[in-house]
Amino acid sequence: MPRKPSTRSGESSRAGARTGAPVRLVFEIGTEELPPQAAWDGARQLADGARKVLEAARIGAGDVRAVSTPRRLTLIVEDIALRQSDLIREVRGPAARVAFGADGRPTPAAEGFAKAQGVPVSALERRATPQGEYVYAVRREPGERTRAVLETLLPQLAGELSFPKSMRWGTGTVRFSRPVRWLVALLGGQGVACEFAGVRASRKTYGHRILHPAPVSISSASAYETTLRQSFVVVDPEERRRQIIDAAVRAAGEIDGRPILDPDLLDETVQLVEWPEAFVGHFAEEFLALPREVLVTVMQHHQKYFAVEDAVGRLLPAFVGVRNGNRQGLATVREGNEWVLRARLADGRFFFDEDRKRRLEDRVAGLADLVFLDRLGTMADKTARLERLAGSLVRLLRLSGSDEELLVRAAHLSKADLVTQMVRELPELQGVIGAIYARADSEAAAVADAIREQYLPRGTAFPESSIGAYLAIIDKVDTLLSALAAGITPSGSQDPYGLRRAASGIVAVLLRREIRVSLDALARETGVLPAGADGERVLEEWRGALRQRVRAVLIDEGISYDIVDAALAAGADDLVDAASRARALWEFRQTAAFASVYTAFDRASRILPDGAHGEIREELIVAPAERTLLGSLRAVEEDARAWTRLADPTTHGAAPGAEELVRRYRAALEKLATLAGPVDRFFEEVLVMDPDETIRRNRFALLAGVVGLIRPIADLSRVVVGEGKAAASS
Amino acid sequence: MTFQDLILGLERYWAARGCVIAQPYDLEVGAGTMHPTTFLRALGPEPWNVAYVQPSRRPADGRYGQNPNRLYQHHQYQVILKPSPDDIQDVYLRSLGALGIHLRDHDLRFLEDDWADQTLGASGVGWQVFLDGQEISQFTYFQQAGGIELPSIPVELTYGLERIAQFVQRKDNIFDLEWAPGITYGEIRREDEFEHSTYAFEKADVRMLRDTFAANETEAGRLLDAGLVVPAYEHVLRCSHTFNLLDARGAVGVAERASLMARCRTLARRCADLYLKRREELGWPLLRTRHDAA
Repeated sequence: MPRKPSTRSGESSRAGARTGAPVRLVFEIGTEELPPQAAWDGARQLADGARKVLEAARIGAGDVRAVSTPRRLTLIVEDIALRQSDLIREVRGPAARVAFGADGRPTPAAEGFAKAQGVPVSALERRATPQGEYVYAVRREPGERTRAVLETLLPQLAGELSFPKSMRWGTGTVRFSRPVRWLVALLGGQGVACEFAGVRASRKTYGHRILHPAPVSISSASAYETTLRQSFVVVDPEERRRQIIDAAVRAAGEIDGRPILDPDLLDETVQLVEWPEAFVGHFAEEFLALPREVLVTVMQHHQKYFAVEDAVGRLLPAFVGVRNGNRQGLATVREGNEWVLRARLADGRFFFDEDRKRRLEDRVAGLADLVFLDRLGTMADKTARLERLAGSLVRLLRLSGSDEELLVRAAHLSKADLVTQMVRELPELQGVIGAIYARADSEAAAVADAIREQYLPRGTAFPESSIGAYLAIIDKVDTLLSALAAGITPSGSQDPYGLRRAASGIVAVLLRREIRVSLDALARETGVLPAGADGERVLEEWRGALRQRVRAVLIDEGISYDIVDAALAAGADDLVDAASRARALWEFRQTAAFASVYTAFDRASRILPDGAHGEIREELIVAPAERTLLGSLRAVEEDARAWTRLADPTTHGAAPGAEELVRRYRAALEKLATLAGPVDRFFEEVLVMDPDETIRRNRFALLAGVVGLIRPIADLSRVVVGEGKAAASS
Repeated sequence: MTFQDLILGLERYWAARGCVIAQPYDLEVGAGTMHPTTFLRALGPEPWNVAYVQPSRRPADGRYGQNPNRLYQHHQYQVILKPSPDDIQDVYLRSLGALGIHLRDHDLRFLEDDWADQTLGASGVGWQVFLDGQEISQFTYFQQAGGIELPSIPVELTYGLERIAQFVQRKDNIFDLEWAPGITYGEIRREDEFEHSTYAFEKADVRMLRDTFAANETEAGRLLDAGLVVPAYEHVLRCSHTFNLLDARGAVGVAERASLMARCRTLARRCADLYLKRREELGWPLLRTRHDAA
């Protein structure tokens, strides 16, 4: 019987020799202005996609990369083979002794096989295989010319790009980030005929929108960057980044300042310009009276300017703007931008002065008119819940009365800035503005800091103050539980209420600040849990959401998923405790003793019937191995009472920190290892399934004791043990 | 360049490019998009090119004529081209040239900005156009209107006339703009701004407005049942403006806000559905005309 054909790529050297040296491929997708993120992502996807597709198509290639500007995504492949590698198709036929007679002549079997495979009988090859000698038909299908293959591959590549938001235009049905207006596809000096989104590829591209409006013809792939540079387009975003930094530093240097090169703004600016030039502009010194955050936000977020500071980090009344173009009319551009910024800052000062006419305190009542989340009441409702939750957290964590006063006050004022003009205008400054106004109202510094930190963690920023950390936690606890109680859950990529971010935030702050609290207790204190079975369902979703996040965090630390799952299965109500058990178990997993504990647990739990428990009756202990095990068990139980205390967040007097917890759990695991020998001996010398039921039950109770000691630390049945298990029993 | 020169320049420019020059809609609307010549004609496969000025009322933005940058009523110059032409960005940029703005002397940006209107169930993808840091236009490819995916994509260009005039005339204060030679924007509009703001924030009779909303909603529904698209849609516009007044008056609670907007949206969707049905019954007349001409 012929086997399924196997294929492999032939040597490409022959193909190369036949059709010439490898050349360069350029594939440019010309678009209307892409969102900066789409320009970055699109280029990355284009290069990744090309690598996969070329390999699958058996087209040899050197460096594969993609560049982008606001108006183009361009794939550049160096040294691309002009032909696909040949495809060699091999089919195994009958055994050689069947295919050829004793005289060496082909039999009808060989003839039939050769005919079916479309090769002459003389071309059949005899090959030795582990099953004996067989006949093979080998057919070499010559690779096609790359240029012909690319005609379908390039449109396919373009069509596979995906964007978070895509659109249609004209009467077309293709979706892309922004309309596709031209395509360039050049293989060396030759065009590749292809079409995407109703546009035919050619060698015609476009230079800078203003500086070079006429189309440009690219003579060959190798001339791509140079030709565009002559048309005022720098295609490599990293080169533009360097140009922007240089130009911005130079421009700020004119006034002895230096630009604050915010990395996000820089990334964005790189994809807003094809031919960068920078200029320094000024604003009136009096605006420096505005909070620094307001000035920087207006400049960076709203006007896309780099703020400028002096050598000691004080803001200067100036900004660096980046222009998409050359120096022509630069004075006009500067003047226009200065004029716009002045109007913006004048607005800012107006809002600031208006806001300052009332204390933050006096704005809290206005929160009744501000919706929190659809279906979830107002910000006034939320504020009331936060104040109550602040009190609950204080009790759960046994905080001092002064901490309580600060936290409750911070909770009371936390949302008040949402009804200020400044935050309505600059919503990204929520919290920051509240902190500034709180300070101006002479609230305690800790209250102001907490208001500022309530929306953290964000990026690399964490709440630095303890009151800030507590406020950040209760804010997110309330958001997550309120949403879950209202039946809102994140699904797939949809998380419009930021619930996953809230869950991650809770986990991150609890772990980082080693705050030991019962999540269930916290949830019950929010007062948003519905009564009865619904409440239980919400609570289960709440546990699940946090467990999922802490699992991700621990796996991210490098702990294997099965160890994480084992630790979390033993309890995840106090995340600091759960994480410490996972970390201790992971350390312990690397030692030889792990296998013995695992084996003891595994053997004991396997034989136990479901729900086996009961008192160990010493008078029924007869065998020496039983007695030894009981002795070891009692010895370990002594220590185990201390572990239980470790795990209970409500009983810790001087609560051990995470590092100390890990150390103690490590010690506990070492201690548990002392049970391994007695367990082994027990199984060797004692028959658990004694015919006498009382004896049998007592032996179960003994083993249940062993399992019961390990289980509060980790459910070892979740641990994946491969080769280690065999080694352990030897 | 005076304010009216701007308008005249745009009228001539877009008329020369095959647009029907329409007139402002004679009802209170918040944006040029709400004009039936945009909202309804954006639907369906028929080609449609139109341009017009639309005075747009945003009661909550009123500042008694005191704030140099905020108005109860501003003016949009609105252009709709359906289907969107391939060279629309160039055509738009040339319109700026026609206004005497030489782009080589300026910095022009297309900054990502997607748009959605909750009361009309309309949304689109596009940009804010910035000139030397000033937003001068919205440039949007509609994707949906009345909750319906559009088969032929209209592009909407909205010029902020006051903004552009401020930019060209270099006036920090809208009211100092020269509207026509020898007369300012303030001399023409400031008193109206003061009165409208006073009305919207202080004097509007909330009970009358609620009754108006309800009456117009009922009437819109009745007219939809009777198959009269445009009269029904006009009552939806009245609902929308009444809602805006209630909102400015501070009379709309949080829960009510979402519900009033949803009621407008429901009616707008019904208008869109009915309009499409009517055009289909008519055999998409503009589609046929174009084919015959071709």
